[in-house]
Parts: sequence; C-alpha cells; structure tokens
Amino acid sequence: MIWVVFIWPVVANACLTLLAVVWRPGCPVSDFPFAAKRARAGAGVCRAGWLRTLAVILALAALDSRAAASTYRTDSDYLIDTWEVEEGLPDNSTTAMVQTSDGYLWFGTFNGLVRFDGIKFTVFNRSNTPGLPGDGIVNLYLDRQERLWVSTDAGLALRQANSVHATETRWRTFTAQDGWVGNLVRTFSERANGDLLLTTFDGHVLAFENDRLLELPQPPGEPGHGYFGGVDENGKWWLTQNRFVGRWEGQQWVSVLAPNPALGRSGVASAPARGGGLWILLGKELIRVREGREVSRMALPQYRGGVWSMMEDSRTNVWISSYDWGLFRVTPEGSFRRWTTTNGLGYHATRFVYEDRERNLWAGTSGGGLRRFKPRRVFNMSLPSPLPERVARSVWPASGGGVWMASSEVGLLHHSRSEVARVMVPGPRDESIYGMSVLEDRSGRLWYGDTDSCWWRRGRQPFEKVKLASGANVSALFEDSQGRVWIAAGQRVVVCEGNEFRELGAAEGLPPGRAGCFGEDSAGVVWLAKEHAVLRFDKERFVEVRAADGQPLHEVLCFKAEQDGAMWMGTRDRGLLRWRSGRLNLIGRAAGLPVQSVHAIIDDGLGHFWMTSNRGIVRATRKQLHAVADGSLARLNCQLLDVNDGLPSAACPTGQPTCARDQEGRLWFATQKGAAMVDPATFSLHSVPPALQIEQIAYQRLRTDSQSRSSYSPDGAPDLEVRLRAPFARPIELPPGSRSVEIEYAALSYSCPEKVQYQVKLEGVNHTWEDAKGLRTARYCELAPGEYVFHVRAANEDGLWNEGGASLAFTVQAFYWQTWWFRVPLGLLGVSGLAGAVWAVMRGKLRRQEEHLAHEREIRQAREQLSHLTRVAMLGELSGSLAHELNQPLTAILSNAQAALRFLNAEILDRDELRDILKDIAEDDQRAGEIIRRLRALVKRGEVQFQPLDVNDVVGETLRLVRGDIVTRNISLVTELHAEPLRVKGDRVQLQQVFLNLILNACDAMANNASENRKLTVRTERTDNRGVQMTVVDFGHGIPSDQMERIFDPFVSSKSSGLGLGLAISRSIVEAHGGKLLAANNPHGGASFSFVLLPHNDNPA
Amino acid sequence: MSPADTTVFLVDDDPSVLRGLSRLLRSAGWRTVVYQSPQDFIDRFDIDAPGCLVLDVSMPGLDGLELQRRLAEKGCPMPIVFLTGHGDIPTSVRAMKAGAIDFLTKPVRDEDLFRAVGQAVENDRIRRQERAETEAIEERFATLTPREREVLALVVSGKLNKQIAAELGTVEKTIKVHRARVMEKTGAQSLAELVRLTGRLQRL
Repeated sequence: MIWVVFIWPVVANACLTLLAVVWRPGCPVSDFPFAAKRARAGAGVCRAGWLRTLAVILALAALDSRAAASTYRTDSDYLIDTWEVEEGLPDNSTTAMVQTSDGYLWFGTFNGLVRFDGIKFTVFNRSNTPGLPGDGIVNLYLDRQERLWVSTDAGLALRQANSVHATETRWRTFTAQDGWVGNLVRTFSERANGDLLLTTFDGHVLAFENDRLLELPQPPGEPGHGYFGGVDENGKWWLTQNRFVGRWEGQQWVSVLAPNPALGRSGVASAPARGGGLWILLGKELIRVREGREVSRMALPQYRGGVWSMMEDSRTNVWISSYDWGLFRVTPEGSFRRWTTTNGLGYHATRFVYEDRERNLWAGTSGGGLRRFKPRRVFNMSLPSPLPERVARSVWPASGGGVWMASSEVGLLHHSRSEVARVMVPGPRDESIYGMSVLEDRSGRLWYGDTDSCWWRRGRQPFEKVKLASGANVSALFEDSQGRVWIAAGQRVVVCEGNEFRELGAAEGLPPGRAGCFGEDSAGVVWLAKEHAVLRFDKERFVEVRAADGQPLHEVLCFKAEQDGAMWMGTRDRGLLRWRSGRLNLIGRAAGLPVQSVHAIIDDGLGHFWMTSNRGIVRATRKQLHAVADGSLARLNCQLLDVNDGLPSAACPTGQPTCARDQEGRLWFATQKGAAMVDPATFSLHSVPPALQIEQIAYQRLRTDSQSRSSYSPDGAPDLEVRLRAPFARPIELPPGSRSVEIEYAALSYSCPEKVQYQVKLEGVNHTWEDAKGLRTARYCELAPGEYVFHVRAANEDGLWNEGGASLAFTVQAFYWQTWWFRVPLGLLGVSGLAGAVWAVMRGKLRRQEEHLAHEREIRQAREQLSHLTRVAMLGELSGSLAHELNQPLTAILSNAQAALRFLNAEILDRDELRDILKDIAEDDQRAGEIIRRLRALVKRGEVQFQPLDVNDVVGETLRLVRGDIVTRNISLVTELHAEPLRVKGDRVQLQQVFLNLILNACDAMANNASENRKLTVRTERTDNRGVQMTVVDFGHGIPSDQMERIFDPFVSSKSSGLGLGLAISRSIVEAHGGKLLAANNPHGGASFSFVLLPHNDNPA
Repeated sequence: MSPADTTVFLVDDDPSVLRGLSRLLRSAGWRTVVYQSPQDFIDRFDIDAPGCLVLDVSMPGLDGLELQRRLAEKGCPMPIVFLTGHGDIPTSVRAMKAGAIDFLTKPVRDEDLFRAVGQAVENDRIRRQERAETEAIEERFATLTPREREVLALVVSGKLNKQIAAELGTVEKTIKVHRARVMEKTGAQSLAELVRLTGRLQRL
C-alpha cells in the first residue's frame, strides 16, 4: 500500500538551462559519461559529468529549503503514500475531506461519502443512507457545531451533530422552498458565530444565518461564473472572482482589489489565512489581505494552472490544488514546489489538500486517488536509480564539511553540501569499489577499507596501503582517545600509533576468530569483539570479558561506553547488553526492544541512544535504557524508525563505523539502500495520541429449538451471528447463550496506521492490559453470564498511548439454569441423590459377591471358547504352510500317476516300476491324510483332557504342521530336542496351540530379516527341578523394552494385523497347566519364549 | 525332442516328489539326475553338461531363486524351469527376469512340464551351438597380427584403403596386402561377412 516515491523537484528543461551556468569551464566535457573514462590519478576527487548533473539537481532542490536539512536535501520533505482503488479506495476521484472530532477522516467521492480509519474505508451512499440526496459528493464542510454539510450532485444536505458515524442519522435536505439555489457548492466560509457563506459554481452566493438559507444579491463580477467565498477577521464576507474581489458591507458588495482585466477565469482562488485575513490568488500573484487591505503580494511566475481549491497548512505553506497543473506549494519564504504525475501524484487534476490533526497532508485528485504527504523525520540521502551507489556500508563526517560514505558498489564517496563525488582509491583491479569502512581520524587522516585491503591518506596526498591488513575484509575502523587507529581485517587486528603499524596476535593473547568491532571504555581501555569472545586490551594484553557465570560473550556487534565505566554492547540475536563492573544486564524483546540485533549505537547528545539494526533504527532515551537494565522499569518505550519515516531501507549494515554524528549534531546512518540523516534537534515525535473508536460488537448465539422450528432461520446455520454497530444503544445486553463475542475497534492515527499498537482489557475477565499488537478485533469465547466492561487503548507509531482509550460496557444474560435460584435447589437435589447412590452401592456389593462364583464358571467356559477360536484363527495363518504340505504329496501322486499311464503305453511293461509307483502313491496319499487329521485335531472343540504325554512328541507334531510355512518363509529351523522322552501331564491340543503360537510369532518377527538371518531354534530340555522347558528362539526385532511388561496382556500386539490375543491365551493355558510362560530378549538380537511345565507326577490334574 | 545326450536335472527337497517327477520325465524319454537339495546340486554338478534344470522354488536352506543367482554368478547358462507350491507373482517375476524358462505350479500337468523342459533343452542346444561357432571364429581371429587387427578395425568401420593408409601412416598398397591377409585368415568371403564375424565377436 505504501509507495514511497523519490521526488525530483525540478523539471528536466529547467535543469538543462541551469546546467550551463553551473558547469565549470575548466572541466573537460569528455569526462562524461562516467563509465567512458575514469580518473586514474589514484587520488583526488573525480567530478564525473553525471555527478555534476546530479549536483545541479541537488542544488535546485535545495532552493526549496527549510531549517533542518537545508544543505543536504536530496529528496522531498514528504513521504508520499498512495491510496487508489487497488489499495481499497472506493473511488479514485476524491473531492473534499474533513476530520470529525471523533478522529475519523471523511471524504467525498462520486460514489458516496467515505469514512476512513487509516486502514478501512466505509462507504455511505443512498443504499445505506437514505438521507443523502445523491451519491455524487462534490464538497464537504464540517462546521463548528460538528454538522457536516454535504453538497451532492442532487442537492445540498446537512447532517446533524452527535450522529456523525451512525447510519440512522438526521439529515436535512435543502430545496428551493428552503431557499436553496444554484447547482453545486464551491466554497463554505464560516463566521465565528456560526453563520455560513456558501458560493456555488454557477455564481450564486448564499448565507446561512439563523438556521435559514438566504441568497445574497448578485455581486458585480462575471455573471454565471462562481466565486470563492471567504470571511475575514472582522467577520465580513469576501468574494473572489476574475472580475471582482471585494467584501459585503451589510447592504452591498464593495470592491477591494481590482483584478487585471486580462485575467482569465481559471487562476483565481481565495483561502483563509492563518493569523487572520485571506489569501487571494489572482493569476500569477498571491495576495494577502488583512484588515480589509492588501498586506503582501507575492509573484508566482511559474504558476500557470486553473484552481480547484487553495489552503494554508499549519506550517504556513500555501497549497494550490489545480485542476490542470498538479499541486503547487508556496512556502512562506517564497519558494515553490510542484507535484504532478511524475513525482508522486496519481493524476494532475487535484481537488483539495487537507491537513489532519497529526499534520499529515491529504491530497485528493480527480481520478488519481488519494495521497498522504507525511512530513519526513529522516532524510534519505540515497540517490535514485540508475545511479549505482545504493548500498552504504559505512558513513563518517568529513572534517572539511560533508560526509564520507563507503559503498559496496562504488567504493568511496563524498557527499558535500551540493554534490556527490566519487573518490578514487586504488584497488586490486583498477580501483576499489567494494567499500566496507571509512573513517577520518582527528589528525586529519582518511582511512578506507574494502574487501581486500586498508588504505589511508593525509589531506589530498595519494592513498597508501596498510600492508599488515591486506588480503582481508576490513570490517571495522576505530580511533581511540589516544589517537590510535584500530583496524579489524578478517582475523587480524592492526593498530596504528602515529606512523607505526603493529599487528596484534597470539603473542598479545588474541584468540583466533573473525574480529568484529572496537570500543573504548571510560578508562581508555580498548575493547574488541570477536566472533565468540569480547576482549579488553589492557596493559598490552587481551583479556577476555565473560559473563558472571563464566559464559563467553558471543556475537557482539558494537560497543558504546558510558562515563561511569559501564559498556553497552549490541548483539546479533539477544538485543542490548549492559556490562557494569562484571555484571551483565540484558535488554531484549521481552523488555520492549523491538529488534533482536543491534548493529551500532550512537548518542545524540540530547539524551537519546539511536541504535541501528536490520529492521530499522531504534531511538530510546538513555535514562530509560539504564532503568530497564537496572530492573526498575519493566518495559522500554522507544521508537522504531523505518521506511515509514523515510529511511531508504530498514536494513542497516554491520561493521564499524555505520553511523556517525557530525559537528552540527546531525546523525548519519548507513543503510542497505544508501545513507540517511536525522537531525535530533528538530526530530519530533508524533504527539497526537490516536483517537479510539469501538465500532462494532458481534456475538454468536446458539440457535435454540424454538428458533430453528420457526421460520426465522432461513439460512439454516447452527449459530446466529448478531452485529451491533456504533453508536450503541445502552445498556448493551447480549442474550443468554451468546458465545464468541467479537469487539472491533480502531485507533484513528493516520501517520502510520500499520504501526499502531493496541492493548485490551475485559473487566470481569482480566484486570491487566493484554497486548493485542496491531489487531483491531478482540475475541472472547464462552463468556459466563455477567457484566463486563471492555477497554481498549492504543499507541501511535512513536509509542504515545491514548491512556483514556475507549470502553464499552455490556451484559451477558443468563439462562435460567445459570441462575442461583435455579442452582441452589438443584444442589440440594444432588446431595440427596448422592446419599441414595451410596446406599445402592453398598447393597450391590453384597449381591456381587454372590454372583462371583457363578461368574468364575462362566469365565472358564469363555476362556476355553476363546482358546478354540484363536486356534481356528491360527488356521488362517497356517494356510501357506498347508498349501505347501498338501501340495507336495499331491504333486508326487499326480506325477506318479501320469508316469504310470505312460509306462502302461510302453511296449515292454515294467511291473516292478509300476508296483513302486503305486506304493509311492499310496504313501503320499496317507501323508496328505495325516496332515488333515492333525489339523482337525487342532481345531476340534472338546473338553480339556489332561493326560500323560511326551513334550518331544508335541513339538514334533506341531513342527510338521508348520514346516511348510517355515520353508516358504525361507527360515532355517534348528531343533534341539532332549534325547529322552519328556513326560508331562497336559492337554495335547492346548500345548500344541501354545507352541504353534510361539513359532508363528517367531516367524512373523523375522519377516523383515535378510534370509541368512532367519534362524529359528526350537529346544526342549529338563530343568534343574525336573521340570520340562520348551524354548523358541528367534532372530527377529525383539520385544521393545516399553512393551516387555505388557506383551502378555490382551490386545497388545506388535503386528499390524494381529488381534493381540495369542500370547494372552497362551499364558492362560500354560498357567492352567501349572506352568509359566516366559519372554526375554536375546543378547545377540531377537527374543526367546519358553514355557516351563512341572513333571507329570507333580502336575495338578 | 529328447535327444539322448541331454539330461534333465531335478532339484527338490521332497524325496517322493523327486521320485515322481523323475519317473514322469523318464516316461517321456529324458534322462534325469536328481538332487535332494540345492547344495547337493552345486557340489556335484558339471557346469558344462548339456541339459536343463527343474527346480523347486521353496526349499529349506538355499531356495530356488538363490540357486539361480549362484549359478548365474558361476557363469552357468543352463536354462531353468521352476516349480512352486504356491505361485506368487513377485517370485515368478523375479525368476523370469533372471532368465527362467517357465514357472510352473505344483501339482504340475505332464504336458506343461514336457513343453517347458522341451523348450529349455532346445534353448540349451542353440546356445551351445552358437558358442561353438563363436569359439571357431575366435580361433581364426586369434591368428591376426596386431597390425592386421588395426587394419581390420578400420576396414569394418567402412573406411577406404586410401583413408586407412593415411590414418596408419603407410601407403595404400601395404593396406591392400594386409587386407587380403585378414580376409584369408578369418575365412571371410566378403567384406559383409567380415563385418558380421567381427560383430559377433564384439558382441561376446
């Protein structure tokens, strides 16, 4: 939205005319253009042609001058910001503007009346404001009684006081019966007693006195042509026209000035003058009249336009808005400046200039939108493209006047009062262009460092190279109080004392790492910041400065010493540090410092520190900084200057020196887009606290059943949103069930609405102010019924708070169940209910004990059923194995049978062969049958039968079932069965089930292993106490330590498809056998599961 | 279809399946040799024996695909017919990509088995024949002198004698002599044949 324009005040032809005058005859024209021939003298000022052109422009710009920045004016006094349709402006033609006492700006467009709060535009037209006679607003006037006069293309209307921003306002329309004549109002003029003089474009003159409109007699000017009205300090009406300038003497118009008969109609205007009297523009002359007489006359030789309106601003500049010649400013000193489409206006047809309370000037154009002219506080020394020296790395005031500037694109530059000149420094190729640092010491030597070497010269002598510092980036130059010059070049530190250069290194205790910047404390000790350390150069040795806890100080970017021995340090990521006798205090974001990195600190001598960063320049009072560091102040109140204040770029470089104060006290700053200058003596804060308005309260209420059944809810949304707009009917009562209350507010600060900060507080919810940053909406969810007062306050861009703020009281009503008369009986009811419940619980406990026994029976049955179901489920997992196991005999049978058929066809019948075949077929068939039998046994559902059995048998049988699966999964199986039969008493099927479960789990665990790591060991053995142990060892992923405790719990599974019941059931089976199921992770990967059973004679049957 | 000097090698871990398949193949006139495990096969197998391999995919220890890979590593080009209990697609794709002749599902029908084995044996025969021919060509080319090889390379790249002479820094006449000797030693009747023979060698 913000479009900062570099404004070049002088038109090209004027520039060319004057060029010849300024051009020194001694300088050869062949120097032009710059790139064609470069001075190779090595030293001296090169006055290239384009620079001279520039200098001329600068000199011309300086004609239009005022106090502070007079000699260095490189751009306009104003930052110009644009609002057009693209930026949300409802109409690009703006006709007139007023600011009401509540702070809103209002302006007229051909599509209605617009209210502007700095960010948002609200349009009032005939569709929402029936009192308005028409949508084409031609002129606006706010009278002393806060009544808004609106001249529209469909007539004149008056909006009554105290209803300025309401939609249901009282409008009064003037018709012919009310005395209204003429077409559109050209000017409104008001006497101290509230009487108004209205002039129309078609030459009528009306007075509004005693609440009545009355046409005054026709003045003796050109008929049918409009007058500019006015009122003088004695309350006399004045009229100005190309044929008549005079005043109303009670009965008749009396001519005061006689305009030149040759004067055309257009270049005529009048405006009230500050301090009484009137400004009257007659063609090329601006006349001031006072006490009925002409007191001054100023010639405007350049002025050639027709006038829409004229005004005088609070700085006593007269602004002429021309409909064909742009905007023209006349300063009290008599200098002129013109704005057109080439230097900031959207269109040359200018309607008005209006000054708001914060002294911003608003210019409206017909078709070119709205412009804000904000007076600059920071002066931009950058030069517009295509000139290349945009990145300023370092600035330093020159002793002979002007400023040195090191630019990383064109090397060393000298800004003098009227020119910008490049100073040639020899470089690795031709001349140095990558300037990093510049400094002029007190003995008059100029030091300059680039990305490769460091140079110095005395006076105009040739530059000499500092040999010790070459081959490295010169990031800092610093002169201490003894006149020693310190140079930081890459890792090196070089000090120059007199004419002696000395490199300081490890011998002096200098640690490795890039050298950053220098400082000097009040005792004259030089400080040095390296990448990871801060050092003091005390008694010819570097001593590290550490925090109290022994931590080194990282990434310090600048120093600023205090007289009492304290040292301020700017850091890259923590804000500002204060070191005082070994103690460190931090001022960071939490303490209100708006930036993280501080690149340089400079004292303006007026009690302020100015700190550069990569986000702008922070200005804070020194006193406050100390108070915050001491802990006696919680929050810093400071200003952040950025492009909104005229800085060419908010990003300031690191290095040294990047800012400096000149002899006149002006501060110079290097930025990424050129140098900037501030004069602290004239720097002023925006002193108008922002007006605050609460614009709307909106809430959502739950739609109750009765509402949704009625025809009242056409949209079908679950919640109803209700909006109440200002002005509010009091008291505001939100119905029961109101949720998500949103309050919208706006601070009417027009200098920089984007930087307005808000704080909000809802009395009834919190007692302290909450930071809302730039948010213009406060939202509260689920407010309990009760009374609330919402408060908001705001601070403008300079941190000036509107302490009074604005507030809004409202009540959230309660549902009946939220009221005490409902809740108390309900509470009593609850207590008695609880007593009843306790009694019921006690009774239930007895009954449950009876039920317990019956329950256990059921559980046992259920467990058996479950174990059966798991077996059946396991069948699915075994399907691969079964396919393989059945396929083998079937393949053998089929092959044998087919072979037999063929042998039968052979000539010689081999009976032996056929017999073998049939024998094989029979065997294979039995084999297949056996597999099926085993399967059926496994899934058979029967009573649990404990009987003596050999564990080795159980294992062998199970392995036969699962063998195919093991083979197809490419797992190598090792069986280590105990040599003797291991007798136990148990249920064969259930033990098989446990074993099968363990093996299948083991196989699954190894599914993702490489095939050589798929090893399964099955072992049976006797334990020490004659028990029997079966173990399954896998090489899988093992059991996660956090699951070790829970693996036997039901529904715990590491498999994506598993139910998590297998191990739980296995455990219950083993426990029913009086044994134990154990799990452990192997030392070399994988897990082991084993179950231990007692020998059969000890077994409980 | 089943020349007497070709053998079908059978590998399956199930002895009864092995017996059945062996009988079936014998009933069709093939000679069979059976191995109870892949390791057994690797240990006893003659790499140059003509014939084909019928291999079960899933066997404990070394499986069929692994055996296929190892044989390929050893440079054994014997065609393989796979048998499997459950013909899953990824395994069959891998096997076919690695050069298997066919991938049959157990239980296998005799005509399917015979067709696959027949094709494998035929492939083996053609391959052997081609190799024998190439070896013969190689033998002939081995007699060329280094200079003749240079000339040969330029001749088959389509250069004229004159160009070859310029390139090798000699006269056209010498090239003609070399060229004639190359034709003679390689037994090529024409330039086209020479190009074909050289191409076959380069392909190997």
